[in-house]
Amino acid sequence: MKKLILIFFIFTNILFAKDINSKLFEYIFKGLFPSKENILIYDIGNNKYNLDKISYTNEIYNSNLIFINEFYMLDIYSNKPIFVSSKKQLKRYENAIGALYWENDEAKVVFIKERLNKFNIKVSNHLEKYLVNEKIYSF
Amino acid sequence: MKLLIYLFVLFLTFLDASNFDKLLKEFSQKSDQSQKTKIENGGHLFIYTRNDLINMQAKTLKDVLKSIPDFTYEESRFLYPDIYNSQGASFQSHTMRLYLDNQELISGNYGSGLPLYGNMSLGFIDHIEVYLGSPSFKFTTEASLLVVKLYTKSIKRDLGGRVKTIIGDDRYNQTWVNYIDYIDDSRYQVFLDFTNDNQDKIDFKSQKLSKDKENLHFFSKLEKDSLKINFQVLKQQNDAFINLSKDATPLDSEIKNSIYDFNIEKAILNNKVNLSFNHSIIDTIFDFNDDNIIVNTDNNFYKNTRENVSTLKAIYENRVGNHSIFSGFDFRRKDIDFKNLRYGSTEQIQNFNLQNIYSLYLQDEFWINDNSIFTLGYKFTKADNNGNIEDEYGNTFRVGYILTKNNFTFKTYYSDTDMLSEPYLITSTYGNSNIDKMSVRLLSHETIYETINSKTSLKLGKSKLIDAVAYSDTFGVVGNVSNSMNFNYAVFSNEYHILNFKNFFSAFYSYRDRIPNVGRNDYRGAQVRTTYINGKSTLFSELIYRQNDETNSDFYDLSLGWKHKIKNNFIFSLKAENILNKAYSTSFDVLVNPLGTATMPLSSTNTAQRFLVGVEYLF
Repeated sequence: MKKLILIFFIFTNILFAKDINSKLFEYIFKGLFPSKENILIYDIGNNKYNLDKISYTNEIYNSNLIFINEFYMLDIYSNKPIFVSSKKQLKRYENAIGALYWENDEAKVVFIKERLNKFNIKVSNHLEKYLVNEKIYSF
Repeated sequence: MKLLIYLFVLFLTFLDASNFDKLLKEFSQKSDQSQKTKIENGGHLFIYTRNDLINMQAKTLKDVLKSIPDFTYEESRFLYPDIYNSQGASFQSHTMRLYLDNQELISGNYGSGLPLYGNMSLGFIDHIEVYLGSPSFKFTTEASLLVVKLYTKSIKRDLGGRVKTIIGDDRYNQTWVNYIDYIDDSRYQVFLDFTNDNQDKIDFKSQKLSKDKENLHFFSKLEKDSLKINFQVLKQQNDAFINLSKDATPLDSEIKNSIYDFNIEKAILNNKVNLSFNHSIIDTIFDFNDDNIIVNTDNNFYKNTRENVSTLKAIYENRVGNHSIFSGFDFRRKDIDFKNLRYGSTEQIQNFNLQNIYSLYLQDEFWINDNSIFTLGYKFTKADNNGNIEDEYGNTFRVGYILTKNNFTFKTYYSDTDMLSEPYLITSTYGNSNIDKMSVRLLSHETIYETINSKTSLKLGKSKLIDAVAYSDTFGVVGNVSNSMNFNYAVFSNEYHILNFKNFFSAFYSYRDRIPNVGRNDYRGAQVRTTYINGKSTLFSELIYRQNDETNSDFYDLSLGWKHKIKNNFIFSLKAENILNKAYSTSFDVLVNPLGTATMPLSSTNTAQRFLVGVEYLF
């Protein structure tokens, strides 16, 4: 019994050992592709997080998601879904399915229903409350 | 047993679904830019995160400087911010350097920009890093032993505008506006601040000594890819407290500064080479009238100078196998035009008005394995002086070893640093044209224990100052101390951070050899800073304790703050500083009678007791 409790604490400790950025992005990416064993991310930005069952790729055509992690306004010629880091990028990229952005000193998450449908993406339960309709969403 | 497994599974399910909101909130409070900018290998590090600065309601850099563990914020008799204050000198802390992003905030005369920027507004600053000891050559041009790096706000987090107004007693007021946006793929930031820092006058010998300061600060930044351009203007009008008055009875004492600063930097060759150019124009008018004679029969001193300071830096950075190699060349030109320099109507001639500094360095960080780094660096510096002042040559040698094992990090550094003489040590009223460079040998070690919610560290340092530069009351000028001086310190700190609560505690003990007398001065200090967030409200408290042999008193600076989000974009705040009115005071020895030698103490608190109300609007 004592051993089990010890294992439990060690396990939860490992679970929480990741930095907050890694934990959050892991939740988001796994929530976007709940059935995928390994999610391939094409990252545009400098951060490389420590993510479980999520890999980075340098081949955009092989990726499941393009992640623009900085405030870049680039021209992207790809039909892959994009996850961005500002509302302005969400407005600019038609393929942007969602964003993690800052507003009034608070981090916010949003996913656009119509754009997710375009890519046949069905998000996990824990992300459903962040879904919005494109027509009524103010960018 | 079954129940435990059931609870465990339930716990994980709960964690997966409903905790995303909590995680997002935690991300809001813990995520900060310093995770990207901090250079763990750069030295011993303290960080004031964006949330620390916001929750502390830090208005100006002084609010941060006064709480850096191991140092005591003071203001000199000229009212310049100073951490190694000396009685007779206007400034003593040229070994401390300030940086804004990658650019040094410079003074041609003092070297360090601390006297000019020490009270600058923090409205456009995201976070602050403090590096103790001889830092990595990567971010310093001249030798230094304490580096404070300020980072400007970023478009990712601060897109849009912010305006804030604070008012306080003694007619204190500060208003700033910060706006960040983009045009196509270029980002820009514009910031304007006006601070009127009035304080209670000090009644002394039927005089009222004034410490009022007025700052107008404009800052702008433009970024496109790796090109960064910024321009800033800082205008200051400060009452200069007791200034040169030996018995602390000035009739009129004022210092005006106008600073125009331009900086451009760009990374080229696949980001392997970073080039930067900086030019600062610093106009200073120093006007002092005393009721007693200063020199000969004159009781007035007037100085009007223009400093043109240019800095050119080229840094090459590459990773070859397990080696991270930095090498670079820096050139700095300090041209000081003494337009007017006179006692009464007697014009003074200052022949020393140009210093060119050349630095060349190489630093290797060798990754022995994934957990340990050995770093070795050498820097050669030459200062070319005109006006029959001897040229100086300096060497800096730095070696360090960093080991990370499980939750522990061990950092050990040894550095031998030659600090070349800044122009003010030669040209000021207490200057000495025969001054020699000072050398500092520093051995430091830090043990850090870090978990996801806490960080505990113990820093130990042993240093020897050779040919230390110090002001002599006997001769009224600065000079080199013939004996080597010891300066040793120990700093313990602990930071604990869970979702809504953050606590920072630190305590230090240090001692320095007393000069010119035999013996030593002990310095003790501690501080505890707590932040608690409850819904839309944030509570903050800070207690800073200082004690030393120079004053033989215990000082307590207690601050409390409350911040409330009335709307998502409208924040109301209250803050009380130095509530007990027992904050650290500097004791100046001033003459009882201008013709005599007997002295009496003049005590001046470095943090005014103040109650402040603020409103902030985000748009």
